[in-house]
Amino acid sequence: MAGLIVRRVFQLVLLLIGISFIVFMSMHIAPGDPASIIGGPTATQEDVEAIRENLGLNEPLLAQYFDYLKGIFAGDLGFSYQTKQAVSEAIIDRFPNTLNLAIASIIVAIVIGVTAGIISALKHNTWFDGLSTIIALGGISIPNFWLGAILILIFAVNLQWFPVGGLTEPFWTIEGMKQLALPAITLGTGSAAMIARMSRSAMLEVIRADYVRTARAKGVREKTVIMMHCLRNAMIPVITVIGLNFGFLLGGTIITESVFAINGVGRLMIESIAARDFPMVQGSVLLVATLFVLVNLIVDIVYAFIDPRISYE
Amino acid sequence: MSTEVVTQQLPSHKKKKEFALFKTWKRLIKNKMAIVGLVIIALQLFMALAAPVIVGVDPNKQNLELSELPIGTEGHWLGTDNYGRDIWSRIVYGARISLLVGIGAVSLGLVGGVVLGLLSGYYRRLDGIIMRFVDLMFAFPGILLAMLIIAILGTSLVNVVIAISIWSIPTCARIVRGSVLSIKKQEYIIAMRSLGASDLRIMVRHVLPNCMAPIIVFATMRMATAILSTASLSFLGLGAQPPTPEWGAMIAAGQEYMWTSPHMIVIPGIAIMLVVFAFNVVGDALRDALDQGMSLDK
Repeated sequence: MAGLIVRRVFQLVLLLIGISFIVFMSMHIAPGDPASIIGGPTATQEDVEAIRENLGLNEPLLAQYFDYLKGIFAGDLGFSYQTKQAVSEAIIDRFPNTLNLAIASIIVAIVIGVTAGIISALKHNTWFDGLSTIIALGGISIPNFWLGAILILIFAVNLQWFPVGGLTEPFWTIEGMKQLALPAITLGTGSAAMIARMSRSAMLEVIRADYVRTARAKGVREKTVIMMHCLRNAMIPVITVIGLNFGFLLGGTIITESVFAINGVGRLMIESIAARDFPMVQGSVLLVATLFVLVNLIVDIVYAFIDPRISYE
Repeated sequence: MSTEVVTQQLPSHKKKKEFALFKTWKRLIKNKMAIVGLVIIALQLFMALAAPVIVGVDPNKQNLELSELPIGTEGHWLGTDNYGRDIWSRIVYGARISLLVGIGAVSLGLVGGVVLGLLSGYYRRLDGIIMRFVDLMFAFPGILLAMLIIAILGTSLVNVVIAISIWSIPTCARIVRGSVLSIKKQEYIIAMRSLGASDLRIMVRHVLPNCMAPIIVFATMRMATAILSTASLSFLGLGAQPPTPEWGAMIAAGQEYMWTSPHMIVIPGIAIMLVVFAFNVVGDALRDALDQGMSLDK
């Protein structure tokens, strides 16, 4: 196990260097000179040159990259072209909202997905199974920005049960939970559908296993067979899907935050892309990609702990 | 027994291939959901090809006197938007855009993915470097990579196609590599090599055709992702720009009016969902049909 963790962490470090390089290069490939963008339309040639010198843009590319890496380790991701605010500061301000949304969504996805998947498997080939399979396919196909708009229309505008948007209250308060409910359902639906499909097939496989038949033959109560023998083993592959989905949800928050006007990293990214504010785009992409690979690493290690057959040779 | 008789008794390679295709098709249409999906895809194709004949109205023609007409209005059976544009005609032309963008993005992604996958699976020396590159691309959750590319290239529908195609490359490369690794160990490939066939010929004529099953399934499922992502990016203002009748952009434009004219967002959303659903179920059914075929062949 220790070997696996060391190997995975080493791979992660290489991957993070690769991510930082791609993110760094994106600014150099992009059309437009950063110094001219910062200087604005009124800047003279001398002003632009001074900015270039100040930013170190006259240095060789590799030297600039190492400076960028050093900056990352020091928590310095540069300054926004638009607001002149420190990128790390802007991200730290907005990150809690993104994280709250991602966690709330994965809870929604697990509760709906695992429950629907298990019931479907237990009621295999019944109307419930058929209906839940179709709903799961629909859940994967539904555009979440559209679902968000429809939920706002029904539950926020017509029924007025939830606020239209924003995430200003702490999530542990009633108001905060109300603010999180619709965005979490919007973002969690797609993942719930995937988790439901995975739980159903994993459960079906386990239910038909020999050891389950043996347990039943020995007279073990059906409830114990399901809870103790089936569920525990069926959940192993589901945990991987849940972990991977959490990573994707971090990416998915970009769209949901825009629909519900939530001040998170995703919305910051969209606004920055539209304004061609590259340091801000770079910082946000770097954060989400890093979290994504970290979550994948944790999933891999947890999976190996749960299922000792996994060795990742 | 003469050679002629043997040839007559054995079905030709072409006939065998046609028979296999026919069997796959038969298995596919046994699946009711797949039929629903195929019908929706056929309808979209028809709308895309015959858009001017079906609607006969310019999807961008504005008439402020007819703005926000509800569903069921005479002459505008799906109503109109805030500029008085006919929603049905915009949906029909939108079908063309979504199909074109989907096909463009998936085709480009397939070309990149197949080339990388073939090289990686066939040449062990290239495998490490290509797969590390693929791993790196996997480090960006889907839409994020597309957004980074759009941030570099700028916002437009063409750039969305490029972004989604680049995003499709790593998955496709992994699928093709996996197939190549198992196919290249087959005896007929070893035989071709001993007969002196070039690597390029073996890869293109003998390895690639045998990787087609997973590639077709991937391409079908990817169409769903591509259409959904295009709509999402256009919704965010990073793809199609006004007044292009793209479904995601239509929802974005309708958001402001959803209190008074909810049909402006409901209809394009249903269109996206139906098409994405169709490609997903057909992809699922194709995988089952091809899997069954492969297990029967063994």
